[in-house]
Amino acid sequence: MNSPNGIRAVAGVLALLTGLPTGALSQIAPPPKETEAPAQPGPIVKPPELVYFVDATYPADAFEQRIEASVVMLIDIAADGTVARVEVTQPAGQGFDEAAEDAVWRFRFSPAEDAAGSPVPVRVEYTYDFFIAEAPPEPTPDPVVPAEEEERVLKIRGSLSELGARAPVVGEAVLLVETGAIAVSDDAGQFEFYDVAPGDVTLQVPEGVFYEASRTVTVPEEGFAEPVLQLEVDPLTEFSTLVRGRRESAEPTKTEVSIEEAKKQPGTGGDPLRVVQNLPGVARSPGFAGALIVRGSNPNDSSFRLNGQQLPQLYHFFGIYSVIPAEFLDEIVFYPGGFSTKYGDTTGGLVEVNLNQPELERWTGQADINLFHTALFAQGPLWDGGTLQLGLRRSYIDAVLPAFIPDDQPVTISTAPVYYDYQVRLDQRFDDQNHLRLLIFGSDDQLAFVLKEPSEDDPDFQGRLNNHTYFHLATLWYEHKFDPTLELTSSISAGQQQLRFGAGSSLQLDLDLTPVTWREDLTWRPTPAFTLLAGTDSAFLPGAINVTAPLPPGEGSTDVPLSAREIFTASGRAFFARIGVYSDAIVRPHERFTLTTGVRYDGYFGDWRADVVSPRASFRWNVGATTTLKGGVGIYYRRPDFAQLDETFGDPNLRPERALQTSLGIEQVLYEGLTIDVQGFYKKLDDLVRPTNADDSQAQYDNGGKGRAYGAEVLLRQNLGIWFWGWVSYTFLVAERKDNEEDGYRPFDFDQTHVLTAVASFRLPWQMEISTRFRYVTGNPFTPANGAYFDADAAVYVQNPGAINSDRFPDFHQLDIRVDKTWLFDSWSLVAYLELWNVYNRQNAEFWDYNYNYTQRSATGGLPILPAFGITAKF
Amino acid sequence: MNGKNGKSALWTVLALASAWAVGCGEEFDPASLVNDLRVLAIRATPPDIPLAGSAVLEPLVNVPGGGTASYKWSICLVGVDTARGFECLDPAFECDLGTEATATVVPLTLLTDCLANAQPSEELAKKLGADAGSFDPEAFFTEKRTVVVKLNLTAGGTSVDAIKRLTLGGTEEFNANPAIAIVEVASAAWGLDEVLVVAPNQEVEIRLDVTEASRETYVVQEEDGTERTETEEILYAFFASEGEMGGNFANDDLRAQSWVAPELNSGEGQRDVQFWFVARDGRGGTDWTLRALRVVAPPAAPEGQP
Repeated sequence: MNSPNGIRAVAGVLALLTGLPTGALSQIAPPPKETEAPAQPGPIVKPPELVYFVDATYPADAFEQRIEASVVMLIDIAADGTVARVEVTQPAGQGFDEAAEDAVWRFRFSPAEDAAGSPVPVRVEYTYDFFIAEAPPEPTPDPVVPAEEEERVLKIRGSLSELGARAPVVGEAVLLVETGAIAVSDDAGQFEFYDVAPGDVTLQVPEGVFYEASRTVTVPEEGFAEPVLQLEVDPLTEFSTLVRGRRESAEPTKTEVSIEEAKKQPGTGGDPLRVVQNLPGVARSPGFAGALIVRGSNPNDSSFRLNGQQLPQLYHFFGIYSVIPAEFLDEIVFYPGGFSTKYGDTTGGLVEVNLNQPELERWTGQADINLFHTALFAQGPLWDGGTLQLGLRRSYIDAVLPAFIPDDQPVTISTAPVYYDYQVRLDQRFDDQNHLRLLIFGSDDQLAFVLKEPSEDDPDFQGRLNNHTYFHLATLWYEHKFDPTLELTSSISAGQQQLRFGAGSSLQLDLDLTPVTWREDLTWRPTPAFTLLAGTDSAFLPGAINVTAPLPPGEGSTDVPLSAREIFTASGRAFFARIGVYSDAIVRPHERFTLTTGVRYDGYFGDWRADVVSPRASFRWNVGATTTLKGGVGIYYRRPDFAQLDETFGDPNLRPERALQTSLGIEQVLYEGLTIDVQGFYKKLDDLVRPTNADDSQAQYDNGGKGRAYGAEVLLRQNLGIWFWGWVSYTFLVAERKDNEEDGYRPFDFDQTHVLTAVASFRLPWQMEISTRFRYVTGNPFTPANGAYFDADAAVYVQNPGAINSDRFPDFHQLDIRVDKTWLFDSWSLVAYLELWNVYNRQNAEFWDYNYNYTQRSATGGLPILPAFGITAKF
Repeated sequence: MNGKNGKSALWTVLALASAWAVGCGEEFDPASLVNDLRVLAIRATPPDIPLAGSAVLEPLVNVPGGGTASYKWSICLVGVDTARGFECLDPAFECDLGTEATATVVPLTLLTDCLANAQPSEELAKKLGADAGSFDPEAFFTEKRTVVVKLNLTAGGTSVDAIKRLTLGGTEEFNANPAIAIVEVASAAWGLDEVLVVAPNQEVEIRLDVTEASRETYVVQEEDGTERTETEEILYAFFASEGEMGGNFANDDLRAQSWVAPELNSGEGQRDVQFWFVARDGRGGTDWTLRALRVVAPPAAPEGQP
């Protein structure tokens, strides 16, 4: 939707609901080389219906001059419902024609049909009306109401309901075949016919949002019949509601994925947030880590946002499932870089997860059972304008894993791996101008076990090992629209976060935080040609820390046994604060060109002090109806890790790490729903934190590290369609770093030269869908062992590291398949899925397994062929 | 499975679970099986050396076939670079300790002979807390400092390296080596010169202990200046030239490991097995003892009997 509130470009023909008038139809004389239409076409008995409508952009100049217009076009609709040709027959000028044409190309229709029921191509005349109004006119269907109802006799009072959903079907037309009369279902799904002669009649619901349905009803002599028709959703229209047009976007590099699209990706176990790992610019995360590695960056360089607010944790342990279920979410927006000034303290990528907008008429719910957990979800209306969503999820790995640990393993599980999360969300829409959202949510992960005897590789690694991570947060969003041009969203989040990790007496980390984050986001759109975004983005992080540990591993460092390392301790209270202020000006000097310039300030206070200013700029230029050029440049900063700023473990005098990000790309619509997005990027990294001490007996860091990442990303994407959707994502990446001039550049830990991901999903008959994902990724760099020496005090061998990241693991490739099957019952539905991970059982290497003195090694760690399944009951 | 990577607790459990599901990578000989050129331990007596004292360094080694080995000892008085393997932080501070099977460290001699003209770089001086350009070794070692002894062992064309940290300087010893007092098999003492006899595939439990007097108590200074008393926890290491040891280590709670005797080859009547047992006190103190065992094939059953 490109128009500001109250200014809408609305199609004059309300075909969305009523279909096109048959009088406006004419059969297309098929082009000699392109059509499969019959040589002697018969009459069209079923007109096409507009099932996916796209708002046109209101031409800026025309809007400023308050000019309204209508554009008349001839549209050729192919037999599959797509738009094959658009011809403006009555132009309006001033940019209206191009805007209308752009929108109509993205329309989707249900196919027209001939007498034999076969889909046929048609040509329709269509008028696109542009007008300025406070709100779009409410399309009011024209129910068949008798002029003098009291004189008529009710003979049929039927109802429509959606199969498998307990939901009444509202606004659907019902045809009484024998008389040609039409009735439209009301809010309760009821429809009525009057003065029908007794006997058998046929009621028919034409295909549209639902499959065609018909039923024979016996009309009694006395009284009236009460038939119930259950309608099954047509996947065409189900999908059409999910197709997303590209939003107006200040950023040149973002990718949006709907939750429905994400949930059906194989290899994700139905968790939509893991879909990010399939997008261009994202490196493969080793093993189950679930880390977000963007353009070669360290995972800590990237961040996750939930409607603007920072998420303390995205995944439960092993990265199997995210902490927020899909039922609360609407879409995932991924920025590999080049995001606007709205966000700071991030030099890598950014994932923005947006909550959905529940508009609930009744209570619904679902239960989800899979290999790892059971999840319950319910949502429904509370009072006028108020809705409630509830979610609860608990794992049962704790019941399963102990059975997987052989008796002869030297480990006793005292707290088996268990996770849970919960969500309570209240939405209150007071009126069109005020909307409040409250989300109380939390997550808990626990694991503890006892190593019965010292580890073979590291005797200090013994005794009780435990990990307990949790957070509880309450986040409040309040949106207020002062007028159609001015909107403010305030949000504040507060809660508690705790991390406990311990391994014997040599490793202990206790972290207690009470984070408070606060945002103000103002949008002022005085004209369609100018938008100002401004706001604050602040975080306050008081906490207590107690650490006993060696120095954290650095970039490219090799694994040194705990027993051979110097152990440090630090404890006390800490306070970090960041206050950010940002402003973006989005200017459209021409309707096809958007320029965004902005600047952001971040001040760091408390235990570490720094000030940074980040200017950023980007553009989008719609060169033609199907081609967009885009680019951006900007400065990004990030605070060093907490450990690097600690007096014991690091240096509190460090400066923020800095990235200069540039990108240039092109988007091309190849065909309806099929787009290709190609972009090149260059990222220059300065002031990277590097260790300066040759041994680990004393921690020293400075900002002497430099880095660079450059490459290209390609996304070929077919949006959700009737039978197929998918994408091919490819990234070519060089990500390098140098910690001193004499050594020169060497690869980052996550430099993956080629990352190819192909995802495809096919809708089959019988409510089935099959999806597949293939990944090919260059192996991660690693630092090879150049022999080892025996540490006679620690009783372990310590490897002599070779040149940092001078070798690579073997390339990774894997094929995953997923099959979904839906069963529809009268008032509920059941969805089952089966995933097969690593179909051809590729032995991928996640890490090296060395012998005791590093003279032998073998690759290990990759998943074998593995099934996963789950079922979801919706009611 | 003998993974060196993925040392976090989570990874360990995951590795165990996936080991069940996937199977481990290639199986390697465990560290407890000693049939190669190996330094098993280095003992310094005493483990802490006052500035005016001296210490003898002895290695516990295995040389395959009982051949001769050559030794090269040195001491790095400013620590080694763990990020760069076996390198002394400054070669000027690395002193030769000879090529005998044992070596002697005499701090005052080292300071006068080896470090007489050594001056640390500015960066190293900063790390040492010393003044670059006017470095006084003797003054530096009036405080206790951690130094590193390096041993290069070569035999049969193969070479292995080992290090041991020493506390050098100050005026007093504060640690002593532990003393292994008990070696038991099936709760019975296993004497130093006793050759135990077992059957092929027989499993025995070997238990070690140190003298109570050698399990010392010591004072630990907390960050806030308070002091607490700790008792040494002994780490026991078990090695054998044949058979299968249940594990390489035992802590002070267990003090025992199981061992399964090897099978004998067809026609092989017996096989001798060498054992090495090492105790470490976690503060640089080390002791060891050796034992011998013989695996003997059971007598053949009389003819006509099963």
